[in-house]
Amino acid sequence: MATETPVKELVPPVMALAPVNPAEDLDDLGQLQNHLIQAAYLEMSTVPMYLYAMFSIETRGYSQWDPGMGAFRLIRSIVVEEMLHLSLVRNLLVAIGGRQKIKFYNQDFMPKYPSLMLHRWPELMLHLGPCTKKLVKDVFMEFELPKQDLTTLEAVPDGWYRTIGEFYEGVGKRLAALDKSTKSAIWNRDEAKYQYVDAYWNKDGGGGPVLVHDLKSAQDAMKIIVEQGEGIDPKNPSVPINPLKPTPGLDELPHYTKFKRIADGVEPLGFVYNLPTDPKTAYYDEETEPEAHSINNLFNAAYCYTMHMLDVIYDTSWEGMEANKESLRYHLERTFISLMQGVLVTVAETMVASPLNVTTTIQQNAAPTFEFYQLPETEKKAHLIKLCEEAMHYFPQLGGDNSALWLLNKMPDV
Amino acid sequence: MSASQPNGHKRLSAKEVSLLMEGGEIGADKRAGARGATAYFIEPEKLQKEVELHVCMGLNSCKGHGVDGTGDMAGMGQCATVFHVCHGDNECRGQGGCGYSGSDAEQAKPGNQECRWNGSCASPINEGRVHAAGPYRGTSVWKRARKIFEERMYAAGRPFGPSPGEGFADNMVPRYEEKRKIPK
Repeated sequence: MATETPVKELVPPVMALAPVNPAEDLDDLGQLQNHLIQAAYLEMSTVPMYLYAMFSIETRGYSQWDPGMGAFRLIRSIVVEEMLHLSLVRNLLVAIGGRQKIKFYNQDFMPKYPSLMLHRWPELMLHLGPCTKKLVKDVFMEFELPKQDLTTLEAVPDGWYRTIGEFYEGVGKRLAALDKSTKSAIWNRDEAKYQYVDAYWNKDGGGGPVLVHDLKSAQDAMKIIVEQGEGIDPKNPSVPINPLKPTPGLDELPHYTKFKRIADGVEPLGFVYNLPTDPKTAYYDEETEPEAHSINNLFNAAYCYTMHMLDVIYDTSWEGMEANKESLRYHLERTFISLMQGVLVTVAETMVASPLNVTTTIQQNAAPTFEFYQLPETEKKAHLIKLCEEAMHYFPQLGGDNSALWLLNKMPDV
Repeated sequence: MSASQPNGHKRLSAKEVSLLMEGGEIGADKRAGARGATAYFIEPEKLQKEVELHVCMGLNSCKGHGVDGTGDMAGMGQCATVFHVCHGDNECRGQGGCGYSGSDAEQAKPGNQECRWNGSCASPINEGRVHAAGPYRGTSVWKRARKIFEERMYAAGRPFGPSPGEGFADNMVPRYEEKRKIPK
């Protein structure tokens, strides 16, 4: 059977930068590191896609009976778990000595849309698009599919796995093989102090960060990633809220089943904003769409600063952190969450409620493009504040006390 | 002594305000006389360190009820007198921090829960903490807690002063944080 070839332009750069070979020796450390870099990309590629769909849900109120509330909450709980998986994968990479091998704030790491999903064959195209039952069924559920129908097998391109299930199984085997062949010398305990081990909350989901320091803790991290995403068994559509300490009655749905509830209409979407599909910065022309142009720049810059803060967190040790004392690491851990909750979400929600000037017969609103934004080498915080002040010309609600601008002023400058 | 203002009005001194609020010696006698259960009286401060439990600075409802007895009057005390780590950890009403997790309703009332265990998130409230959900999503948890406190003070007819700050510093590690360790 001839080997298939994916469309080159749609293959994420990480495939070439950190290539994997499923057939390579299991105890090749470089291969395992590349697998984990690609795993991080895989997890990261879900975040903008799910958030974009979530922000598009207009019918949200603060009552449990508001239509759309269920769908919004379900997607939010999934995104938070994807962020957890991202940190678990990075912890795994740090644990095997690959801390310097990855940066989230990197043009080649940050996902672009449309693009192909990694390790999914036949291809699955990922998009930023407003939430519809069709998008959820055709893309989100397919992304989280527990098992693929084996009767539709096609040849897989070189360097690809057929499913993420096979991919993560490969990662698990490599971890075990390297632990054995190195007699557990693979675990870099000196670097453990850089791992993300605290500060995680998820109202409608579970799990938590794991400090990876041996094979058991590595397998624990993998268990959370696999069980929360695809689930253990397609016939049993629930997983423990804490996969490491299953407790009868404390269950949640895996991502696939959560999305199925939306696709089946169990969780109604209500009204959804008409947003562009796969928007780019160029789509918001500075002349014709100055409002969208300015606020989109602010969004992308804040999104990139969040990624940058995570990189700084992974370069800042928590060793020596003590109660009642100042700590940069603690400061970063607290404030990057605030940046997401108080700036990114606020800016995105402001955008999706703002009509574009130039549209066709059906009114279309602006939406964040989730693109790489080149931040200055120094004084990044001042730059964010400047972008916010520019956007405030069109969106004054971003300024004043208790606003996005107020919160940006609270951020550490790193 | 009362100080004259440029407009000719007089401003009450702290002593006069205290006299108005607490009734001076006569008031103290009356309060002592109102205690019928026991023959003797011990100041609560001598029995317990914290006389009021609240989730951050500027939320003390009486003079001297901030941490370490701070607070020249209501709303002026330093920091929280109750410390706990996370969602649902509050041991009594009004002791939840809010902001990171919890339902919309839980998140909407920092420092004002109806009961034990139905609070949302850690205490003290750090400066940069914002609500993750609910009607105040994206805005300061401490400012919301202060607003609720002020409403309570207005309803009770109690004067209150400015807060010394807007929450626990983001770069300070709270005392509930345990030292992180790498397992052997």
